[in-house]
Amino acid sequence: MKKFSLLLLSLVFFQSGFSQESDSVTVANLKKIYNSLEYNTIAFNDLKEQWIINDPVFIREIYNRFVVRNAFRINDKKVTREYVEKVTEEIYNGNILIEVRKRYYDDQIEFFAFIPEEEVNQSEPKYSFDPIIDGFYLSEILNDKIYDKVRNRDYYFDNLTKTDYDVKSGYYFDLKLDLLEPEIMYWNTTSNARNKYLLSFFGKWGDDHIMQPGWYANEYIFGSKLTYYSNISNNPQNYTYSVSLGTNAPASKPFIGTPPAKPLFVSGKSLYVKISGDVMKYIDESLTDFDLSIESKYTFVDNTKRLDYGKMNSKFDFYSNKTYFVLELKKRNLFDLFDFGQFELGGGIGSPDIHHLQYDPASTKITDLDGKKSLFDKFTHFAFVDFGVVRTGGLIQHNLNTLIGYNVQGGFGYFGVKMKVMLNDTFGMDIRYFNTYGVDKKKYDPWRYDSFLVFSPIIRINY
Amino acid sequence: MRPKYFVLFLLNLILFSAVVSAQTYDDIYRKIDLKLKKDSSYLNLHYIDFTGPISIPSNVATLPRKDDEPFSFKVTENTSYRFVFLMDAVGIDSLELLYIEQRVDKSAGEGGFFGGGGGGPQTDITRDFIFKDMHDLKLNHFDQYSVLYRKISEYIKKNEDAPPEKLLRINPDTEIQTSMGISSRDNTDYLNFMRTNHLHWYPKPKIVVKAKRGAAVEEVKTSYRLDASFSQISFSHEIMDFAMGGASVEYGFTEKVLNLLPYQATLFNAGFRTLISISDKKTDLNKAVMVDVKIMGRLKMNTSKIIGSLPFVAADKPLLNMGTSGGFDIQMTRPFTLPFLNIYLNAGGPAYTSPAVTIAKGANREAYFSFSQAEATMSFYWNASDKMNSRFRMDIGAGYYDVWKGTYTGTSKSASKKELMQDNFYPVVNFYFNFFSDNSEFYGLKARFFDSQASLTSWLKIAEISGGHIIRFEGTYISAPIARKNRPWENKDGGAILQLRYRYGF
Repeated sequence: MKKFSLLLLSLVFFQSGFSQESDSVTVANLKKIYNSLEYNTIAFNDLKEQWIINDPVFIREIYNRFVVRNAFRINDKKVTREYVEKVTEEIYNGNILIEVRKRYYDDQIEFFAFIPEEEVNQSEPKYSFDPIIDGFYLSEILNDKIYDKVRNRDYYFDNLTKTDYDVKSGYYFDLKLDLLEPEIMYWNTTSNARNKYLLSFFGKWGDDHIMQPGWYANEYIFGSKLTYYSNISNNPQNYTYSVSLGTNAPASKPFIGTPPAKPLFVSGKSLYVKISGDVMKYIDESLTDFDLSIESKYTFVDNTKRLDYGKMNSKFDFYSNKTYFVLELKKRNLFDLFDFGQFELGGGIGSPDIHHLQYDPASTKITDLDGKKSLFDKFTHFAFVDFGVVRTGGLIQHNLNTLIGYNVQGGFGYFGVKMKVMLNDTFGMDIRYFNTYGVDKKKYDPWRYDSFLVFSPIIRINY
Repeated sequence: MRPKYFVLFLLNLILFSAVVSAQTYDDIYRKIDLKLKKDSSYLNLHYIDFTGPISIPSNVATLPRKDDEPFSFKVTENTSYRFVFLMDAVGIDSLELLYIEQRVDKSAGEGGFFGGGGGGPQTDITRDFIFKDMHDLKLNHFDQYSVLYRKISEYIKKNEDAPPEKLLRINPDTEIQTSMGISSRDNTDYLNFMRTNHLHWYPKPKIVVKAKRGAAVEEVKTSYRLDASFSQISFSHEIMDFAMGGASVEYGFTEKVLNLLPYQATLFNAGFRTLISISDKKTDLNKAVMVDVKIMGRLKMNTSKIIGSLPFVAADKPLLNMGTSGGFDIQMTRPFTLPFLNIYLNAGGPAYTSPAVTIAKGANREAYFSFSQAEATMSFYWNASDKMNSRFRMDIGAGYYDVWKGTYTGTSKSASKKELMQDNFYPVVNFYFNFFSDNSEFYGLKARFFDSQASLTSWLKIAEISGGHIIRFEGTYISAPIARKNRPWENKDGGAILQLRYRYGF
């Protein structure tokens, strides 16, 4: 008897050890087959229709069908009565919801699970029982009528279906219609199938760094721009360098009340140049994400014709900015500000010259009322810092920046915000508001405003 | 514990663990067989039908079944067997046989009860060897399973050019979606747009077969084409099809650049249009570099006298005179991989005599004229999806026009003083939207912004009569200047025109 017991004991251990291993392999293989019967649409899982049933009465109805059919499983094994009673208590308390997901190409359910309320939105939720991954099996448990009711969603539910918002950069054409900074990419090429040279028409209304934002500048700069990407990227900030060449044209000022007595006018034809790029990495490879930009406008031909100033019939004085320089260095991707975007910090100097001029219809020339001043004296200098967060990709993209500037000679400053918000990188708004501080009205230029608000809708079409 | 009870306990343990395993197996078998039976669309499975007298090795002529009598293959003329199996699944290395279906053709050989089986082909399908049996065969009678496995594998190897049929009934190829629509890389979008909106005919592929309610219809090319509305007409005949896209003529009262409605522009214009190819691919419209050229002549005409009596125009009399002039309108498809280009120029000499519209200024009169207009734009096309139901186009560029003022003393018809008021360029943006339903045009919209004025044109198809007749209802509204003051030659209020447009042969 003792020997027989020992034999049985060893049989139990051997059988249970071997059998458990072979059973688990077989069950795993069977589950693999079960999971592979359907056309695999795993790539669309996040885009499939999905929702949470939170109708307490309907949840009890469904739950009860599972109880009656003894269809609850945990790790493929039937659950104990005690466990079902414990979960039922949670059902009474309304703490159990149902997560449902439909198949991608038809209307059947492909995922159904009882889920404790606190597990919703967890990255790896712990379900109350094994999820049902087959609508036909679910239909057998619930019956066809209840199954159809689940599919049709005529009860209380929370929709979790994700709409596909993502930002892609297409290089076929790219229309960025923003009145303040439009850009229209009209040609592109590559020299090694990884890089891109893009040619665009660009526009520029004003310059924030010399305190002439948007239409307060009274002129529009337009021209052509070459942008080079050493590696094509979905983030437009990841360009290697860009060169812009343009000229100017007078522009009217919308949405502004009474103009200053001595306004700022365009007084000639200008050449505009801007060069920018992530150039610091050529000094040291660790210095990445630095944008250095040098920008200048230079008036090379003065207006002489009467029509250049509109049809003015009487003598008047005005100011004009003929030349300016802006130098800016910006560090991008300084750190991730939670989910809000990447923090960036920049700073630089902006130096416009200001000419005090007189238009006289009787004269063929424009008179320089500050003729005694040297050209150098006509320059005024702004120092500025520009910091904020940038977020690219996802549903909402934004640039939210604060700009603080100070005029060294005038002893006054300005500060404000620049907000550019885009929905799905398609529709958006560009709003900039600045206010001045430390202004001495006696010394303040008569053409300058105390505050500036400029804005433009943005439409971007990119393929 | 007594040895006897201990032995009993151990025996129970062995039996219980076997029962638990069997339950788990049965659960999964049931789920799989249920899915194989009920899912009629999503099963990514393959099958091979062995028809006619099937050659079955003797050791598998009869197969054991898990919960039933053994299954035997019938070797008869009218019995075929469908072997269903899984292949190419993630995590499954080899082919997996799932079940066998027996299909008996009742119409072949066996007459129906009432004789003859006249109701068409009848097949009795029975799934006699289900997944549970097949998996049991694999686990417990592997030699038999491997014979069936080899039979299927060898068949696939022998018929590499004809892969096994699929049970999958969904068609993911027709459901492909892209994130944000598409833009064609050739002339497809351009041609689609022109065929729907252009005043002149664009050639189509010679025969288009449309499946409509099951019937196949060949679209026949008509001998002439006509586009006529209350303000414009174009006509072409097949004898004018000497060029790539034929030639045609047009007449009308429209002005392209200025913010003026038809009949508000004091002119009558006529044009000759042709479509030519400047690339090597003369006949492949989708790839060709095409130039759509229109040569135009324009006569000044005092339409201000009739505009008030036209019931379909709701607009003030014009304040601007147009001059007699000539010009061209060119549309080009992506030269040097640039965007689609549009260039329009109309120029005329100063002709101040006998203006149609004058404005009293004390004892004198003043008249404003525009003699020259131009516009250059780039066009970009895209679609909301590859189904091309929602089609878009945007033109971006610049427009130009001049305005001159003539001063007339007393009743003189000749200007005593001539003055240039402006000759400016302005940015111009045109946005177009076409909506198609079942590949048939349904609705169109054009929005234009130029020189601080917006114009909207919208059409809706109201009838499509077989033989190529289409009637649209069309309306255009032009706004007053936005965010700037009116100029002396501009009307204070906007205006609108409503019209019907008939298209034949397009």
